[in-house]
Amino acid sequence: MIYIVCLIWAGTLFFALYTWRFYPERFRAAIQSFCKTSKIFLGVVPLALIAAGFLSPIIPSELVGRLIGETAGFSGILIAILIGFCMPVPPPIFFPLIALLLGAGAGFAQLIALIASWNIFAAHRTLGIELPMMGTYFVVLRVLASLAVLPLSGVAAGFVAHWLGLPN
Amino acid sequence: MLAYLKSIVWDRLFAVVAAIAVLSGVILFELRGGDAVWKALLANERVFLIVISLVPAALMLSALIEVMLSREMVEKWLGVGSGFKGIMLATFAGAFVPGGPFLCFPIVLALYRAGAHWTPLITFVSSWSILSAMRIIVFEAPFVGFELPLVRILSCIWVPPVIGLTAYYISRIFPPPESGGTR
Repeated sequence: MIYIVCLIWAGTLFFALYTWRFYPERFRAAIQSFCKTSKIFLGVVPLALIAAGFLSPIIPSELVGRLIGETAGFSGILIAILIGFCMPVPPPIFFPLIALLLGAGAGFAQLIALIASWNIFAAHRTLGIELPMMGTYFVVLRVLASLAVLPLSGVAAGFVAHWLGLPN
Repeated sequence: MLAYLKSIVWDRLFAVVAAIAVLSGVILFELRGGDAVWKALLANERVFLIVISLVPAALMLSALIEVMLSREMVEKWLGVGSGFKGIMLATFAGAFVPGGPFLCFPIVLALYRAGAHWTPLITFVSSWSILSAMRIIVFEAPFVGFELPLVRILSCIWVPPVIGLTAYYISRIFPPPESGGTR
């Protein structure tokens, strides 16, 4: 992680120096844009991180597991998408839960629908970063389009798992 | 300085998120007691470290990208008329762009300000969320092995472009607001 941070900083500083040296006017525009965007990261983002930290111990993970493990078929896929939609937990909590479900024999179709839905909606990310940066129209458009497409991804996962001879 | 601070706090979204934070904190306190609240605050330590160390660089980088990219080039590859080419490019880029949301969304906003259209950007975000190679290697594979991610990629590879196309048709029925909707 520390290497990635150093690499990004080095690249940014080099790029900034280059712009400052050869395109001073554009550099000034970049500083203005930086100030405008940084407001969001000073206000909403830290608060949203705190909210997500409070919410993840409240979510009853075991209940979620039982729901997904017990419902099969297309209704199972729909329930998985619904659960993924409202799970504001970060990856280090989410993937151990998936490993548990996989071990307990949940179908690939439901699990993949759950992961895809959590990936697409991830409430902590959508509310905390995407909404303040990109605005309501972008988020609503993306969520609507994804809701229409996601159930089919579960069905496709069922077919692929069947084709490969895995539990579905 | 005071006006700057006031513009941060005097904001509708800020109020909503603050209310959610307070409410969830109170619920957690009622359910599990004060220790759990303190533990939840400390659990964020790593994320805060990442935010503090990475975000200034990510924001500066995306601001520089925004001013240095030529509008014609962005419009040609990701603009209104880029069509299927833009969607495919966004899918491919999203799957291989490293880094978390703190790097991704500033870049998406920079591309939007530089002239990119909604459709490729939504495709990009979808592809980055579902297919991100980095996340699979770092988070998913260590917990669940490679079988599940493999099936997932095989069955979801078509999802980001279709989400992009669906978003395009929805945006034709419900056109974006005059201001563009972003900040």
